[in-house]
Amino acid sequence: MYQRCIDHQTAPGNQPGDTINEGEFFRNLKKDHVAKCYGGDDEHQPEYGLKLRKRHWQYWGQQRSGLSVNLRSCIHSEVCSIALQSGGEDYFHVAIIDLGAINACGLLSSSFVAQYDPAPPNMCHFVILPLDGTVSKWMELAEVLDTPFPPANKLPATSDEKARARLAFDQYRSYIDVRRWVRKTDGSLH
Amino acid sequence: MKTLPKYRPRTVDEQLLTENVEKYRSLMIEAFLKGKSPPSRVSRMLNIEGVGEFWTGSGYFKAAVQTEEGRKILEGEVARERSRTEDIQSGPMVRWQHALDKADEAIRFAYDNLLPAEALKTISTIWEHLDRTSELAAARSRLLMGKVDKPGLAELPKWFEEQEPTLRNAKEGELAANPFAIESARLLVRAAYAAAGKTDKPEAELEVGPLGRVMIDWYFVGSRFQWMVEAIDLPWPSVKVYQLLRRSDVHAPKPVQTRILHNAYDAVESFTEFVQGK
Repeated sequence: MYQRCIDHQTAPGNQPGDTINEGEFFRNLKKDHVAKCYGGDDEHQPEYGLKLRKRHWQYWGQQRSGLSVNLRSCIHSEVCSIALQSGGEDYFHVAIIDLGAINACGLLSSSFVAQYDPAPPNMCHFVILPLDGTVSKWMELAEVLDTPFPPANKLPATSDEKARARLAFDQYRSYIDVRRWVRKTDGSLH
Repeated sequence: MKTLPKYRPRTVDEQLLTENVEKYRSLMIEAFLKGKSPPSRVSRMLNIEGVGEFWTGSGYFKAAVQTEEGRKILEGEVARERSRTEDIQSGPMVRWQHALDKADEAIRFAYDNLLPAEALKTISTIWEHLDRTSELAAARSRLLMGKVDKPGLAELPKWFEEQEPTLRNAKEGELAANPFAIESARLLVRAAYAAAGKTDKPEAELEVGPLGRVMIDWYFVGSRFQWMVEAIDLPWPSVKVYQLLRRSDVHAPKPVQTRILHNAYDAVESFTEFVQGK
């Protein structure tokens, strides 16, 4: 798997240090980085989907080296994203981040960019960084992506609440789409 | 000396006054001694003719003006009171904003147009200047803190006491909160509660933030008001708080607003406004 992922990369045409402000990226996640959008939702097939746990976002700002991600069009699969991650055995889920959608959401005071940072043998590696600030910009991003779903975390009951919850989840999924159990619970990666 | 029809105080260019006071004073006295009108540049500077004498000191100016009604003293403080906006807005209080905008512009220009190593050097030089400005602001704020009343403090709420151990005791592989950040957070919450008076006060969730900061996430239904408190080397009521707020809106999501606050007065003011729904 590891060698096949290395061989199948499609390196982007960027030079190291080049930045882009759109594109889809894989972010590898540990087990506790993911939460259900509604705590009371089904454990295995949550009707209203998954989101990143708030604490995970808040700590992105602590990563002085930036938010480590892999370019989807280069690495191609969630499985390879985890396979080429150092210490990859701790990672089980993958978030697909649409940087262009985040930048276009109109809720942030400035945009984020992805800087090409190849880490051989991973030639698809980028880091996402705020363009015009540091700590406060990460706080903004965390807030935008952690907006409580209506009706404020209580499992929707009425048809109106259900419709609003689905709409909110669709909006969220246009920024971040969480794929759970890319690495199986038994530790295997296929 | 020319006599003015009526005394008409106008906005004075304070920057020119303070920077060139000696120069213009000499020019003016020289003009008077020769029986001439004040040099036109001086007149323009004061925006008034018939000025007989003027003085400046720290934050004020004074000028003697000959009018039909006799000699009048024109004086004003230039930066002491916010209400004197005419002087403030025409003087250095506008220029500082302009200067900082220019610094932002220079950083962006360097990033966009220079070679990376060259841009880094340019940005580093600008950053050094900004750091010196920041140190000046800290020093003067520190001195001013001794001249104003400290914010009132209420009792530390129970919810804070209950959650405080989670700040002090780090989870495995994680940092505990910095003790100075915890102390700042305690004082801020007490000051916020004191300022809110009898208004219903929200509780908050406390967490260790990045690099030992303290995250205070206030509970507001549908809205968000967050403080991230950093340890600093200045005494209370100086603080360093990253503030995030986002107001609720059922129709359209509101943009997130962040500020970096340096004293408890500003933080508490924001808090009370948010609690009162302003």
